[in-house]
Amino acid sequence: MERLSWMWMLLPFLVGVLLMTTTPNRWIGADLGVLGSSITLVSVWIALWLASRQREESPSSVSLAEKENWVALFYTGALALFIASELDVIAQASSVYQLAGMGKVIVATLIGWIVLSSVIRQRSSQRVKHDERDGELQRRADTVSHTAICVTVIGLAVTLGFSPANRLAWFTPLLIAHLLMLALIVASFTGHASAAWAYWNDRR
Amino acid sequence: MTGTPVSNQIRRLRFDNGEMTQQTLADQAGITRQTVIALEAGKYAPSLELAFRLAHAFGVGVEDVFQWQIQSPT
Repeated sequence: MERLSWMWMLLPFLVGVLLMTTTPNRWIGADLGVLGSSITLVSVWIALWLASRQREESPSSVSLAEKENWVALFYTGALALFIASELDVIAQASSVYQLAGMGKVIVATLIGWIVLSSVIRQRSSQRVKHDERDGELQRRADTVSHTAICVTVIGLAVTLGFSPANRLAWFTPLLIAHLLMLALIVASFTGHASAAWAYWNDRR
Repeated sequence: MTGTPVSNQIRRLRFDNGEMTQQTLADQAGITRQTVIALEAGKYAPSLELAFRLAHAFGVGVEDVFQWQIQSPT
Protein backbone atom coordinates (compact mmCIF):
# COMPACT_ATOMS: atom_id res chain seq x y z
CA MET A 1 0.00 0.00 0.00
CA GLU A 2 2.93 2.33 0.69
CA ARG A 3 3.69 2.63 -3.00
CA LEU A 4 0.18 3.96 -3.63
CA SER A 5 0.34 6.59 -0.86
CA TRP A 6 0.72 9.32 -3.49
CA MET A 7 -2.85 8.61 -4.61
CA TRP A 8 -4.13 10.40 -1.48
CA MET A 9 -3.15 13.59 -3.29
CA LEU A 10 -5.78 12.97 -5.98
CA LEU A 11 -8.44 14.46 -3.67
CA PRO A 12 -6.75 17.87 -3.13
CA PHE A 13 -5.76 17.85 -6.82
CA LEU A 14 -9.41 17.43 -7.82
CA VAL A 15 -10.46 20.12 -5.32
CA GLY A 16 -7.91 22.45 -6.95
CA VAL A 17 -9.24 21.65 -10.43
CA LEU A 18 -12.82 22.19 -9.20
CA LEU A 19 -11.88 25.58 -7.77
CA MET A 20 -10.32 26.48 -11.13
CA THR A 21 -13.25 25.32 -13.21
CA THR A 22 -16.62 25.31 -11.47
CA THR A 23 -16.68 28.02 -8.83
CA PRO A 24 -17.15 31.78 -9.28
CA ASN A 25 -13.91 33.66 -9.93
CA ARG A 26 -13.97 35.50 -6.60
CA TRP A 27 -15.20 34.58 -3.14
CA ILE A 28 -14.77 36.87 -0.10
CA GLY A 29 -12.09 38.77 -1.99
CA ALA A 30 -10.03 35.68 -2.80
CA ASP A 31 -9.21 34.73 -6.41
CA LEU A 32 -10.45 31.11 -6.43
CA GLY A 33 -8.88 30.37 -9.81
CA VAL A 34 -5.37 31.21 -8.61
CA LEU A 35 -6.09 29.42 -5.29
CA GLY A 36 -7.17 26.29 -7.21
CA SER A 37 -4.08 26.51 -9.40
CA SER A 38 -1.89 26.72 -6.26
CA ILE A 39 -3.62 23.73 -4.67
CA THR A 40 -3.02 21.61 -7.79
CA LEU A 41 0.65 22.65 -7.76
CA VAL A 42 1.11 21.69 -4.08
CA SER A 43 -0.81 18.40 -4.43
CA VAL A 44 1.21 17.32 -7.49
CA TRP A 45 4.40 18.24 -5.61
CA ILE A 46 3.44 16.20 -2.53
CA ALA A 47 2.33 13.25 -4.73
CA LEU A 48 5.72 13.22 -6.44
CA TRP A 49 7.50 13.49 -3.10
CA LEU A 50 5.51 10.52 -1.73
CA ALA A 51 6.22 8.51 -4.90
CA SER A 52 9.96 9.28 -4.62
CA ARG A 53 10.09 7.90 -1.03
CA GLN A 54 9.84 4.35 -2.34
CA ARG A 55 12.88 2.19 -1.95
CA GLU A 56 15.42 2.92 -4.66
CA GLU A 57 15.63 -0.72 -5.71
CA SER A 58 11.87 -1.07 -5.97
CA PRO A 59 10.89 -2.00 -9.52
CA SER A 60 8.02 0.46 -9.26
CA SER A 61 10.27 3.49 -8.71
CA VAL A 62 9.77 6.16 -11.31
CA SER A 63 12.38 7.63 -13.65
CA LEU A 64 12.86 11.36 -14.12
CA ALA A 65 11.37 11.31 -17.63
CA GLU A 66 8.30 9.51 -16.32
CA LYS A 67 7.91 12.00 -13.46
CA GLU A 68 8.09 14.89 -15.93
CA ASN A 69 5.53 13.13 -18.10
CA TRP A 70 3.12 12.72 -15.15
CA VAL A 71 3.47 16.39 -14.26
CA ALA A 72 2.79 17.37 -17.89
CA LEU A 73 -0.22 15.02 -17.95
CA PHE A 74 -1.72 16.56 -14.80
CA TYR A 75 -1.14 20.12 -15.96
CA THR A 76 -2.39 19.69 -19.53
CA GLY A 77 -5.45 17.88 -18.11
CA ALA A 78 -6.12 20.69 -15.62
CA LEU A 79 -5.67 23.36 -18.34
CA ALA A 80 -7.96 21.53 -20.76
CA LEU A 81 -10.66 21.16 -18.09
CA PHE A 82 -10.30 24.81 -17.12
CA ILE A 83 -10.60 26.16 -20.68
CA ALA A 84 -13.47 23.79 -21.49
CA SER A 85 -15.34 24.99 -18.39
CA GLU A 86 -14.90 28.64 -19.46
CA LEU A 87 -16.17 28.27 -23.05
CA ASP A 88 -19.52 29.96 -22.29
CA VAL A 89 -17.70 32.91 -20.70
CA ILE A 90 -15.38 33.16 -23.73
CA ALA A 91 -18.34 33.02 -26.14
CA GLN A 92 -19.93 36.02 -24.42
CA ALA A 93 -16.74 38.11 -24.26
CA SER A 94 -16.40 40.86 -26.85
CA SER A 95 -12.71 41.47 -26.26
CA VAL A 96 -9.78 39.55 -24.90
CA TYR A 97 -9.43 42.06 -22.03
CA GLN A 98 -12.67 40.71 -20.53
CA LEU A 99 -10.88 37.38 -20.07
CA ALA A 100 -8.08 38.76 -17.88
CA GLY A 101 -9.16 36.64 -14.87
CA MET A 102 -8.98 33.48 -16.96
CA GLY A 103 -5.60 34.52 -18.33
CA LYS A 104 -4.26 34.91 -14.78
CA VAL A 105 -5.25 31.33 -13.90
CA ILE A 106 -3.65 29.98 -17.08
CA VAL A 107 -0.43 31.92 -16.46
CA ALA A 108 -0.35 30.79 -12.79
CA THR A 109 -0.82 27.18 -13.91
CA LEU A 110 1.91 27.43 -16.55
CA ILE A 111 4.34 29.01 -14.06
CA GLY A 112 3.51 26.24 -11.56
CA TRP A 113 4.23 23.64 -14.25
CA ILE A 114 7.58 25.20 -15.21
CA VAL A 115 8.68 25.64 -11.57
CA LEU A 116 7.68 22.10 -10.60
CA SER A 117 9.40 20.56 -13.64
CA SER A 118 12.63 22.46 -13.04
CA VAL A 119 12.64 21.58 -9.31
CA ILE A 120 12.10 17.90 -10.09
CA ARG A 121 14.93 17.98 -12.63
CA GLN A 122 17.32 19.71 -10.23
CA ARG A 123 16.51 17.39 -7.32
CA SER A 124 16.90 14.25 -9.40
CA SER A 125 19.92 12.16 -8.46
CA GLN A 126 19.76 10.18 -11.71
CA ARG A 127 23.04 10.38 -13.60
CA VAL A 128 21.30 9.77 -16.93
CA LYS A 129 18.28 12.05 -17.30
CA HIS A 130 16.91 10.65 -20.58
CA ASP A 131 17.91 7.57 -22.54
CA GLU A 132 16.89 5.91 -25.79
CA ARG A 133 13.80 4.25 -24.31
CA ASP A 134 12.52 7.64 -23.17
CA GLY A 135 13.19 8.94 -26.69
CA GLU A 136 11.28 6.06 -28.26
CA LEU A 137 8.32 6.48 -25.89
CA GLN A 138 8.36 10.20 -26.66
CA ARG A 139 8.28 9.53 -30.41
CA ARG A 140 5.29 7.21 -29.97
CA ALA A 141 3.57 9.82 -27.80
CA ASP A 142 4.21 12.46 -30.50
CA THR A 143 2.53 10.22 -33.08
CA VAL A 144 -0.52 9.81 -30.82
CA SER A 145 -0.53 13.56 -30.17
CA HIS A 146 -0.35 14.30 -33.91
CA THR A 147 -3.32 12.01 -34.55
CA ALA A 148 -5.26 13.68 -31.73
CA ILE A 149 -4.65 17.19 -33.10
CA CYS A 150 -5.80 16.08 -36.57
CA VAL A 151 -8.97 14.54 -35.14
CA THR A 152 -9.84 17.54 -32.95
CA VAL A 153 -9.17 20.17 -35.64
CA ILE A 154 -11.12 18.20 -38.28
CA GLY A 155 -13.90 17.73 -35.69
CA LEU A 156 -13.97 21.48 -35.09
CA ALA A 157 -13.98 22.24 -38.83
CA VAL A 158 -16.82 19.78 -39.47
CA THR A 159 -18.80 21.20 -36.53
CA LEU A 160 -18.38 24.72 -37.89
CA GLY A 161 -19.21 23.61 -41.42
CA PHE A 162 -22.41 21.77 -40.52
CA SER A 163 -23.75 24.00 -37.74
CA PRO A 164 -26.94 25.92 -38.61
CA ALA A 165 -26.54 29.69 -38.91
CA ASN A 166 -28.23 30.44 -35.57
CA ARG A 167 -25.79 28.14 -33.74
CA LEU A 168 -22.78 29.70 -35.50
CA ALA A 169 -23.44 32.96 -33.63
CA TRP A 170 -21.99 31.20 -30.55
CA PHE A 171 -18.69 30.59 -32.40
CA THR A 172 -17.15 34.05 -32.09
CA PRO A 173 -13.57 34.54 -33.43
CA LEU A 174 -12.37 34.69 -29.82
CA LEU A 175 -14.08 31.39 -29.05
CA ILE A 176 -12.66 29.71 -32.16
CA ALA A 177 -9.18 30.91 -31.16
CA HIS A 178 -9.64 29.34 -27.72
CA LEU A 179 -11.08 26.15 -29.21
CA LEU A 180 -7.95 25.81 -31.35
CA MET A 181 -5.79 26.33 -28.25
CA LEU A 182 -7.92 23.75 -26.45
CA ALA A 183 -7.37 21.32 -29.35
CA LEU A 184 -3.60 21.77 -28.95
CA ILE A 185 -3.77 21.18 -25.20
CA VAL A 186 -6.02 18.11 -25.61
CA ALA A 187 -3.60 16.70 -28.20
CA SER A 188 -0.69 17.27 -25.84
CA PHE A 189 -2.65 15.63 -23.00
CA THR A 190 -3.41 12.61 -25.20
CA GLY A 191 0.29 12.23 -26.05
CA HIS A 192 1.30 12.44 -22.39
CA ALA A 193 -1.45 9.95 -21.46
CA SER A 194 -0.14 7.47 -24.03
CA ALA A 195 3.43 7.87 -22.72
CA ALA A 196 2.19 7.47 -19.12
CA TRP A 197 0.44 4.25 -20.12
CA ALA A 198 3.61 2.93 -21.81
CA TYR A 199 5.80 3.79 -18.78
CA TRP A 200 3.31 2.19 -16.40
CA ASN A 201 3.04 -0.90 -18.61
CA ASP A 202 6.85 -1.26 -18.63
CA ARG A 203 6.93 -1.25 -14.83
CA ARG A 204 4.19 -3.88 -14.38
CA MET B 1 5.99 -1.20 -24.60
CA THR B 2 4.86 -4.69 -25.55
CA GLY B 3 6.99 -7.84 -25.37
CA THR B 4 9.73 -8.21 -27.95
CA PRO B 5 11.07 -11.23 -29.90
CA VAL B 6 14.49 -10.45 -28.40
CA SER B 7 15.23 -12.26 -25.14
CA ASN B 8 18.26 -11.53 -22.98
CA GLN B 9 20.45 -12.87 -20.21
CA ILE B 10 20.98 -9.55 -18.44
CA ARG B 11 19.68 -10.66 -15.06
CA ARG B 12 21.86 -13.83 -15.07
CA LEU B 13 24.91 -11.91 -16.26
CA ARG B 14 24.45 -9.32 -13.52
CA PHE B 15 24.54 -12.03 -10.88
CA ASP B 16 27.46 -13.75 -12.59
CA ASN B 17 29.33 -10.45 -12.41
CA GLY B 18 29.45 -10.18 -8.62
CA GLU B 19 25.75 -9.45 -8.22
CA MET B 20 26.06 -6.20 -10.11
CA THR B 21 23.15 -3.88 -9.27
CA GLN B 22 20.77 -2.58 -11.90
CA GLN B 23 21.99 0.94 -11.15
CA THR B 24 25.64 0.00 -11.71
CA LEU B 25 24.80 -1.60 -15.04
CA ALA B 26 22.66 1.42 -15.99
CA ASP B 27 25.53 3.79 -15.19
CA GLN B 28 28.01 1.72 -17.19
CA ALA B 29 25.70 1.55 -20.21
CA GLY B 30 24.56 5.17 -20.00
CA ILE B 31 20.86 4.41 -19.46
CA THR B 32 18.37 4.71 -16.61
CA ARG B 33 17.73 1.92 -14.11
CA GLN B 34 14.14 1.79 -15.30
CA THR B 35 15.37 0.85 -18.78
CA VAL B 36 17.40 -2.00 -17.28
CA ILE B 37 14.20 -3.15 -15.54
CA ALA B 38 12.25 -2.97 -18.84
CA LEU B 39 15.03 -4.89 -20.62
CA GLU B 40 15.12 -7.63 -17.99
CA ALA B 41 11.34 -7.94 -18.16
CA GLY B 42 11.58 -8.40 -21.93
CA LYS B 43 9.48 -5.30 -22.54
CA TYR B 44 12.05 -3.32 -24.47
CA ALA B 45 14.35 -4.28 -27.35
CA PRO B 46 17.46 -2.07 -27.29
CA SER B 47 19.10 -0.36 -30.23
CA LEU B 48 22.17 -2.04 -31.69
CA GLU B 49 24.42 0.54 -30.02
CA LEU B 50 22.89 -0.05 -26.59
CA ALA B 51 23.14 -3.82 -27.09
CA PHE B 52 26.88 -3.41 -27.70
CA ARG B 53 27.26 -1.13 -24.68
CA LEU B 54 25.52 -3.66 -22.42
CA ALA B 55 27.62 -6.51 -23.77
CA HIS B 56 30.75 -4.39 -23.23
CA ALA B 57 29.69 -3.74 -19.61
CA PHE B 58 29.68 -7.52 -19.04
CA GLY B 59 32.80 -8.12 -21.14
CA VAL B 60 31.02 -10.58 -23.44
CA GLY B 61 29.71 -10.62 -27.01
CA VAL B 62 26.32 -9.30 -28.00
CA GLU B 63 24.99 -12.78 -28.75
CA ASP B 64 25.89 -13.86 -25.22
CA VAL B 65 23.51 -11.19 -23.92
CA PHE B 66 20.72 -11.09 -26.52
CA GLN B 67 18.99 -13.86 -28.41
CA TRP B 68 16.47 -13.48 -31.18
CA GLN B 69 13.47 -15.74 -30.64
CA ILE B 70 12.88 -16.82 -34.23
CA GLN B 71 9.16 -17.04 -34.87
CA SER B 72 8.11 -19.49 -37.55
CA PRO B 73 5.72 -18.01 -40.13
CA THR B 74 2.15 -19.21 -39.69
